[in-house]
Amino acid sequence: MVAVLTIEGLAKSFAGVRALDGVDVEVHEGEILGLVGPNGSGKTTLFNCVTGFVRPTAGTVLWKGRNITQLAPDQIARLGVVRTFQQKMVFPRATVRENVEMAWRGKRGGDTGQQFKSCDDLLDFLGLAHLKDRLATDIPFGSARNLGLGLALAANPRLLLLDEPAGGLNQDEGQELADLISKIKELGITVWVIEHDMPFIMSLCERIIVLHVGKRIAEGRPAEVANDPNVISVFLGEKFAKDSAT
Amino acid sequence: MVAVSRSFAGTLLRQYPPADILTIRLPLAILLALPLLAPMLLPSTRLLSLAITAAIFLIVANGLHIVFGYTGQLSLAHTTLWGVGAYTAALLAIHYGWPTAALIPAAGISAAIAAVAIGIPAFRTAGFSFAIITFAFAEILRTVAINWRDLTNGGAGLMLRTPPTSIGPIEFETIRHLDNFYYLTLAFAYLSLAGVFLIRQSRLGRTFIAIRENESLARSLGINVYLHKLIAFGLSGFFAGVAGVFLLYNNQKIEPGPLSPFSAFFTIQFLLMILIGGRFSMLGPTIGAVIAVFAPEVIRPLIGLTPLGDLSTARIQIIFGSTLVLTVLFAPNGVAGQAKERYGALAAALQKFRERQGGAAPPGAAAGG
Repeated sequence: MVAVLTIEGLAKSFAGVRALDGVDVEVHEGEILGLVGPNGSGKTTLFNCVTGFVRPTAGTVLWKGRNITQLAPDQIARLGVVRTFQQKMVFPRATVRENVEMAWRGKRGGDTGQQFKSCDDLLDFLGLAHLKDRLATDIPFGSARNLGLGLALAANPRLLLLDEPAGGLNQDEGQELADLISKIKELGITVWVIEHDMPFIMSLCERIIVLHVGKRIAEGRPAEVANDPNVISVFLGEKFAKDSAT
Repeated sequence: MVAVSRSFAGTLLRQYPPADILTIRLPLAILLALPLLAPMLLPSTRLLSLAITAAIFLIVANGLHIVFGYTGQLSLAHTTLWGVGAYTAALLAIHYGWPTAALIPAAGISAAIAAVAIGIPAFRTAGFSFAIITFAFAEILRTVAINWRDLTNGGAGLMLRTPPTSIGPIEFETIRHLDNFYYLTLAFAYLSLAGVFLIRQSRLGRTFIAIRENESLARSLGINVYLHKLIAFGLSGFFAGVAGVFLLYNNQKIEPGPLSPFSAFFTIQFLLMILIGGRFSMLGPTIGAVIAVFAPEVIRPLIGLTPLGDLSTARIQIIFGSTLVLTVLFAPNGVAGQAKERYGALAAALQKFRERQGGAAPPGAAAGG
């Protein structure tokens, strides 16, 4: 397995609070990697540090051997590391097709070119072709979520970071999304996904990383992680705490 | 001209497929061609002068539209860039005798350079901080214009004692050839409109709008936000600088006084034009500029009939201000936004009516993709 993204000792403090506390991660080429953890465990902060939106306090991020820790978000995106957002994921006062056009990056040199022939080709892939002339603010939530994913794909990623893509989706929509992510993987794009929905992530990912109060507490195949005593204590502990509160 | 207006209609058609093409393409083309007849239609030289003022305002407003309407950056230094263009033209004309044809690009480029110079530090910030910093730069440039007497002749300003030189055989002297000067200004007003249209249709324009709509998302997709803001500001400065030449010719002087491009009054005036015309519409600034110039002409005689009696220009501003408040409350997308909404509703109603009559064409057919 070739590691395309290597994170070493990544730390981030906000006003003295340690959001990330020396996290190491390797993302392997071509896999779907899961990132789970209770609320406030630092998952989104980790994505923000990798994509340049937040400057880490310490540690390094290597993309294909190149140190990208100090680069700006747009530079990192142009190198092929593209993320999605939980909220405000589209350009509201533009049509669906214009949204994709805004994000579109054409073919790169060599064999790592843009996977889609055109914006319309990408809209077909996302199942959004019938909505292409509608304003992005007018389309249903599930479609907006897909469009957000589409914008990231239009930017020609080699590694896609998805921040809770299934949040707010119902069971059927979640299944459709999981299928879509599998298809994205088949295009040769590596995927790293944050998700709360455990069945979703267990069925989708080949490998899972568990984060708790800014530290990586487990890593492995879904079945291994699910039986890890540390993970059980963190998640069950949270569950017990909730149960006793009600 | 015809090709451009046809594409304008085409853009509107794509957004609002109509029941009948003639209901929008023809009226819009006529409306856009109407200013060509102004010297024949307008009864007095005074009104033609106002039409010239409207054309100059329109160029400035279209430039501001690129940075404020498209890119979403509230620049309070825009009219100052207009003044930079006028001063550049005045200095080159007075000291070096440059002809009109050379002053226009020179003024445009100098204002674009000034815009980029202001933008380099100002775009390190965003939102209100950006607005305040641009305002500070506008004040600095005004102070320079007042105090650098050797260059600017201080508060008295620079007088242009020569009329605009001819381009080829066409004279633009503003007393005997006001018609020609009007057409020259109008040509550049049309060019500015074509400019904002072409920018809107280009990848560059889409990038500007992406930045306005969601800056973080734009960055996450690999867009260099800082660079594109600078490009938008530079382009808007170029428009303002070109308009500066016409301002100079029209007034025969440029000075940094309270009713000059250097005053905060004018800056606010132009922002109002775009808000009233419609900041999310390509024709918004044009509509706003025409309203700003001609509305007082319509309102003044009407008010004269009421017990309020004659109103001074300053009091007309009160009405202008009230109009803005009403616009923001009841038509936040401006006149153009309202027109689009009404037109969309009308087209939909027409379509429904035809369907009831039976045998109507499907709604997409007329638009033709």
